This record gives sequence, structure tokens and C-alpha cells, in this order.
Amino acid sequence: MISTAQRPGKAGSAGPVTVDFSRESFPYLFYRRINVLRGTEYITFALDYGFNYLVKRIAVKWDGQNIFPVGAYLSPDVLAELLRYSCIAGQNVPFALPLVTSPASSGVSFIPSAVVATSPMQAVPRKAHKAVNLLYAFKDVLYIRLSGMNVVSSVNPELNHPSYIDLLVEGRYFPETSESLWI
Amino acid sequence: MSKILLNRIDAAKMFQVQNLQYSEILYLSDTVPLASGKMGRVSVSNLGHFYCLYVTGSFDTQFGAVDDGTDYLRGKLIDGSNQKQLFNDYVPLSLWLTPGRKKSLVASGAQSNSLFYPIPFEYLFSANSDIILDVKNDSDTALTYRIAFFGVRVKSRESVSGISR
Repeated sequence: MISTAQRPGKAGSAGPVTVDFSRESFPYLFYRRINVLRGTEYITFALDYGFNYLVKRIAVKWDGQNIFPVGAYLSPDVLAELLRYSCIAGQNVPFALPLVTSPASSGVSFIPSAVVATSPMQAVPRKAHKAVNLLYAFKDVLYIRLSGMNVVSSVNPELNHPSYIDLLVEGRYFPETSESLWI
Repeated sequence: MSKILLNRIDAAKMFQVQNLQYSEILYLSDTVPLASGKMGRVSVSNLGHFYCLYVTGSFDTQFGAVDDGTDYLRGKLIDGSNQKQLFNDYVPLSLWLTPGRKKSLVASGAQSNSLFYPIPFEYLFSANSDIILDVKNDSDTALTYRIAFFGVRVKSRESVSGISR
């Protein structure tokens, strides 16, 4: 909280700036790399005690290992759902990840090699995102449910999944009281 | 004669404000040794608080003699005044920095990325503190990153109170 109060006795002049660091909100980023092993994955982030958390943006990337050994390409249709700790959804239906973030032109990094075991995550930055603006109260748990990774027939069905997903949640912590635990 | 400005610029008032608060860019660049980690830091100095608004950054993606465009760097931003960690984990730089990749070799790989837009990052760094970026490098080559913090300098001394804590 930065406030510019008038300096006593000097009307009209720019007053001193008062900074109360204990009441400052601050950005906080949650990051998790998820190994995709099933059709549905749950990610949880426990929110810090004494702080409310406002989810501003979500950025997601996944690698290009969902390539058939014969070279055919399957785009994963990964769906995301923001949940509260009691599994109350913040939306009516799961949304496809490329609808909220665009890490690459198609949302998937293309790997030229068919050797899927060595396909790395490409350094493609996200180009745009949509504001989420969902507020979680303190003591809540930020649940994210990823689903829609369908297994189709293949020599190895697991190859049709992205092998891992990078999930970044951008938001801000707001102190619940002035007596935050950071001080 | 056309009227260019509706109001006359009061230089005295503008300087009065600018002497207390003005826009500033803090630049942080460091080279992380291969297969290792390093804490890069930039000093906010005792000139005043620094209210960061946006972040941009670029980094190298080299592995040996090949620039393969892979994200080998991951970092965690820390407020140096109280060691408050602003990330819960080491985040790959491509997830929170634009323009991101900077092509470091002439002959190989794709082009450098151009700036899409700055990532919003609003945070008040106090005077006499450091902005610390703890970076780990998974490549077999030393890699360099460059970050610009766009913000407002809020000068201390007679203009700011509450900085001693």
C-alpha cells in the first residue's frame, strides 16, 4: 500500500510516501511439472495461511512426445478445470487449455524426431493469455483437474499422451490481516 | 497556427513530481555455469523503493555446439530484502519471460523470438534490497539470460517513510 499523504504544514507540496509492507499484496507463481500417466490428473497447490489468492493467468506448455512411432501426429485435447478444495468448480465445464493460453502456434511443440524418448520441451514463449480472475480464500487449496488425454490404439498407448505438462499459475497473494506471517 | 497542447506544460511542477517518482528500468544479466546453478542479482540501491510493473527477458538455448531451442534454464525470483520467494518452484524461463529465446549461434536453429508483450509483474522492492533470481542450468553449456524490470522509482529520504524495518 503506497499512499501519498499531505505533509503537515506544507500545503500543496508533495507529501512523503508511506509504505506499509505488511499490507502489501504481492505476485506469486505456482509451478508444477506433471507427469501424465492417466487420462485425468489432479494438481493441488496449498495456499499460504493468512493470504487470499487471486488467480490472474494460467500458462501451460506440453512437450511433443505424443507422436506415433510411425510419424503420425496426434494433438492432445487437454481440458482444464479450476476447483476449490471442496471440488466446487470455478466454471461450468472444463475448458481446453489452448482457450486460455497459447504457448505455441498450435499449443504443442513440434519435435522433428520420432525418437520420442529424447524429445525435449522447446523454449517457445506464450504469446497471449486470458485473465481468469478467480479468488481463493486463505486456507483454501487450489485444485486443477486436467482431463481429456485420450488413449488411442497404438503400439504403446502411453505415447499418445504428452509425457509431461508444464503448468504455471500466476496470481497475487493478498494479506488477510495486517499481521501477516511474513513480518 | 495550430494549438498543439491543451494545457501549458508546467515544467516546475513536473520536475517536482519527477524528482520524487520516475520510471526506471533495472537490468539483470548473468551467465549460469553448465549443469549448475547461480544466483543473479540486481541492486535496488538506497535511492528509493522500486515498484516493478512489467518484466521482459531473453535467454540462450544452446547445448554444446547446437542451438536446439530447448528451454534449459529455470529460475526462482526472490525479494532480497527478506528472502521472500515469489515462486513456489524453479519455473522454466520460457513460461514467464518474453521474448524468450535468443538465437546464440549463427548457423543452427530457428530465429530469435520477438517481443510479444511484457509480462505483468507488480511488486514493490524496498530500498537497499536486491532482486535475486536463482537460476539452474540443465545444459552442458554455460547459458546467459537477460531480464529487464520496468517500474517506477519511489525515492527515499525525504520523500518516503517506513522503509526501516
